[in-house]
Amino acid sequence: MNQAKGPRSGLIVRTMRIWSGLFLLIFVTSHLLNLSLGVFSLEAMDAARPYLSEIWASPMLGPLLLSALVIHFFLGLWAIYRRPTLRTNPQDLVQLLSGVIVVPLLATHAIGVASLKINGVTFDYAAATRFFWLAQPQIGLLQVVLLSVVWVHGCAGLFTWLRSKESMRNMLGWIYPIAVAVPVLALLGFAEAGRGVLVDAQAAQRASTQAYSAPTVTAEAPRPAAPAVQRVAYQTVKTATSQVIWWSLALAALTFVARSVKLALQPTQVVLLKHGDAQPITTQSNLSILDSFKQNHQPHASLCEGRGRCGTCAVRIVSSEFPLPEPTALEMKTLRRIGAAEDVRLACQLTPSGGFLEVDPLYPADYSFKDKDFEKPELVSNPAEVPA
Amino acid sequence: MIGLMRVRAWAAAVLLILSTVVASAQEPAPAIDAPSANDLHEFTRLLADDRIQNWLQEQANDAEAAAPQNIKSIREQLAEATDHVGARVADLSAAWASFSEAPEVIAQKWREQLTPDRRVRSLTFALIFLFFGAGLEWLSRQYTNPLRRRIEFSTFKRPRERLFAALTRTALAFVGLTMFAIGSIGAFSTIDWPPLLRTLILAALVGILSVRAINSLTKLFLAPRVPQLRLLPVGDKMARVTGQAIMFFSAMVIFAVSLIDVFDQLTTSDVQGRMAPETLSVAVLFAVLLLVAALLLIAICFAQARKHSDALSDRSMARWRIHLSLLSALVFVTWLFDVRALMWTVLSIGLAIPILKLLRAWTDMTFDQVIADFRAKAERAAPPAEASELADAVIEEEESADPAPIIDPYETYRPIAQRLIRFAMFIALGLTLALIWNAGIFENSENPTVAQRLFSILIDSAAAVLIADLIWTWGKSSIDRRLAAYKPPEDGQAPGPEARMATLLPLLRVVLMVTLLSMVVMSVLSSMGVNIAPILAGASVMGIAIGFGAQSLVKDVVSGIFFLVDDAFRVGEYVEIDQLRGTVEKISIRSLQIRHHRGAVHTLPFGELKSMTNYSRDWVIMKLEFRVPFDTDLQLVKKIVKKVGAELKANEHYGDSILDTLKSQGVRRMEEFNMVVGVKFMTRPGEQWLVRRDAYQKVRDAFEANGIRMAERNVKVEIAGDQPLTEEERKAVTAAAQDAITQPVTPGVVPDEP
Repeated sequence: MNQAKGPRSGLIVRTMRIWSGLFLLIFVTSHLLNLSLGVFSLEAMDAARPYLSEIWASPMLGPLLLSALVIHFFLGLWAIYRRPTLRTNPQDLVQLLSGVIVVPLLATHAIGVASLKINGVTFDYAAATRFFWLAQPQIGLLQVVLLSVVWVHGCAGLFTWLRSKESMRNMLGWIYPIAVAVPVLALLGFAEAGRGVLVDAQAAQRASTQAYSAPTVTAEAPRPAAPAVQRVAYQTVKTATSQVIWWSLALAALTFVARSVKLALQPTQVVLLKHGDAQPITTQSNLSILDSFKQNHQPHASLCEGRGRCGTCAVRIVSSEFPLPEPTALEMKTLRRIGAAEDVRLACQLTPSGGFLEVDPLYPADYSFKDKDFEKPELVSNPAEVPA
Repeated sequence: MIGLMRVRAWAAAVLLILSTVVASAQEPAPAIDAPSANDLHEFTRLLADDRIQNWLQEQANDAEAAAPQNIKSIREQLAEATDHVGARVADLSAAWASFSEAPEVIAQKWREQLTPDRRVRSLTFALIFLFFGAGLEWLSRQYTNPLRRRIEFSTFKRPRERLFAALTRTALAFVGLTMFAIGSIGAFSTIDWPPLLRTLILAALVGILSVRAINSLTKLFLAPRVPQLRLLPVGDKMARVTGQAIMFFSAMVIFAVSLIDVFDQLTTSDVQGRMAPETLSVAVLFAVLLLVAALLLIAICFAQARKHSDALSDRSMARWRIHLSLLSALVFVTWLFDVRALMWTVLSIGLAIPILKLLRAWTDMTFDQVIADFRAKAERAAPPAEASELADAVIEEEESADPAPIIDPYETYRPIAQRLIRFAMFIALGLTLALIWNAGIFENSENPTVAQRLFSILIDSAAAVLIADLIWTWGKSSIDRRLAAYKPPEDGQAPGPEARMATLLPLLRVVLMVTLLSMVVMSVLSSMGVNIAPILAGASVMGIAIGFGAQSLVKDVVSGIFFLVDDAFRVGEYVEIDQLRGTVEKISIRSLQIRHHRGAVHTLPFGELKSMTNYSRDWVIMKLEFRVPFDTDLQLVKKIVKKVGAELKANEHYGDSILDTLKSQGVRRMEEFNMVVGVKFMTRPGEQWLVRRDAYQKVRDAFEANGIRMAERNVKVEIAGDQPLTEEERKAVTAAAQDAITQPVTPGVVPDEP
């Protein structure tokens, strides 16, 4: 095995990204579970609030959460910057775009709640529901959008990670229903609580019109703001929120611009790529082999969608006109794990510098780890190396 | 907890059933008493009342008068249609006048019906439902994805597999869609909604659902990403462009229709259900946009087709383009004047034509693939015997492959498949049109309208013609296939059993055609209301007359058919009929010609044939006899005969025809002066004479070589005493012997043979 060590940065970035993401996903899940108690009653939601939601604002977890969010956001932008192509599979694209818009969507909610907490206003679920459904329904709508986007982003990341883990192959079937049940229950709880509030408001309105025959009073919920001592002014909160929104959007836009500038400046060579028995395809030298396949609709196995984790995109190099770049530490790790031979490389990590390259896929295009239960593909030339 | 709930549920169910039972039992409980005398008196008084009688009379008259009013004359219907169009034109001009205010009016109504808060909240709800649907669909996809990926990535050689795979893929997509529908519309329907919101949200959900369903169907036929699952014969680029065009257009149509629906509900004030002019003006605007979009998309698609595909010639492409553009324009115009039935008719007929063409192309493609596949397989199966041989053997094989092309079993089914598809298409089109015109062909009405009558005639005749066409195609192609497979025998060889089919099948074809034609004509006439009984009667009278006149001819033909079916004789066989013998030379539909071996030709009508003997079937046994003296060594004879038999079998000319070679049967009988040794052999028909000739010759030669004499007729005169005879006595003895010799001996029957 080649002992050359490439740069380790890729490996570190990947590890940080997945762990910060997992941490955030756990927080979101716990928060949503709290929300789903709304199916029963507002009281149930509030009773569970200290254990499921407020615990995340504790002095230890709060900063951790915030830093995880920031790290994850910036790592995501970094990944976008590094991407040679945006035209890969739809799931990847969904993950990318949802990741970009999470922060702007989240800003209103997070900063608002934080400011209330600093001001010492109790913002329990009863107040929140009235606020989201009666006082400011457009912010309520925003919350539903936020929930959907966050959950889609989290699940996309989680499942690409899980799918690339061979040991999880039998567990996935059980995790999928949970992944649907959590947000659906949360939305149900949100809607149910909202409906309760709306019915109450209508009843109150009817009672008031009957009793006093007063002109129509809009069922305005008591605003959760207006505390006695304002440590943070409402205006400040508003400015901060809009600044976060605009800055995050600007950063994302900047990333895209920087990426396209980088791509435009990068000199590219034409690569002639031959895949198994298929016709050779012509691509650019800045694309990885896997991206080239995807761009040309050439089916190729890849369970982790090009993150160099699963090793299913491995190809055997049949012939190469020019010497190929050395594998990075990230690629080496995976190659060593799957026990690959010298001439095997990961299609998602290998970016040829040009010329003609012929590769042979090791796995069928529709491969998944489930298939291991049925048949073992002839993966490597020396199978004794395969670690457990 | 769950157990308790279940018990409760059971209890509730039992209670429900009990209550219904009790309720139904209670209803008939109050027994109906007979009317009292008072009631009867009252009733008779009422009946006698003039007013009541008048009223009853009027009711009866009204009912009589009302009945024929349902049937409108064509003139009235036409007038009605004209009025309808006139009203529509008035509506359109009103819409034109109010076009500028339309957005304002609709926006105002919109504001009246929905406060901003409510709008946002309903959007929230709609989003939540969409999320439910999407979540369920995503979940179902996670479990079906492995199968889908397997289908998309594997290769299917055989068209049936390919069709099955494409259908499975679409079925998977529809499973996902169903889950989406269950999730979104199911969640939606659990809540009571105000009518407008209900229309709005439902329109959005159903719109999304139908666009996606259309997309899945388009994918079934075009499969832009997976060329090997594509059912239509188009290229990658073409499939993508067409798919996107269809998708875009259908989305536009559905969006426009649902929006107009919502607007209509917003603005409608009158009870008659006519559109408000503002909505109508928006609808016309949408329709114009849709027309422009349709024309543009057609232009784009055909431009792409010209660039990427060369399946169609430029001329036919231009024709199709004009066809589709005209169709869009016609649909638009008919919609504009609100002639809905005409619009749908134009649309369905206009779309049916290209669909028919496409289906035809698809069948052709499928058959081509199947045949190519079959050819490849047959060629793979054929060569292995010679594969190991050298290059010249390969050349030989190529040469031999040319004169005998591999006949595939599918080619003859192609016309049948095409007819079947056309048949199904026409039936579907007919049913659609009937539904559009609301002709009620399924109802058996007493007084059918003109449209009903027309439709029933059209559908009956079309069905008769199509079914007859189907049967005719099937019959003709199978007869032609049999005839094509028949090879006339080469000179000097006996024809096989299929030769009689060459006689029978053309006749069968004609009979089939005449029968089908007359049946179709009859059924079309009868569906048009022509009374076909006289025709049938006339035909049967004619039939009887002809039958009597041509009795023997008919008898000949019919018995000929049965002789042919029985396979009693074939051309070239040697047969005996009554006293006539000869080789069958010609078989016609009425008679049989046999040629005697001395050249005479006999013609026999089949009707005259009672029984016949065929000497040319399978095998012939011939028995020969040799007369040998009593002192012959029988063992030696047996050995000699066996040797001769082996020699005969080894003969290069007829050895193969000998089924059972010459063998001795031992002494068959004893005669006065000799023993009769029997031998026999079995050959194929026609070869026995040659074998017999050689057998006689060889046996005689062998006997002579081995010192066995053939017995000769001689007279032994035994003379008592041993004195030498005198001349006188010798003469007397010779004379006596001469008597014995010249005794007439009847020779055995010499068979009459060629």
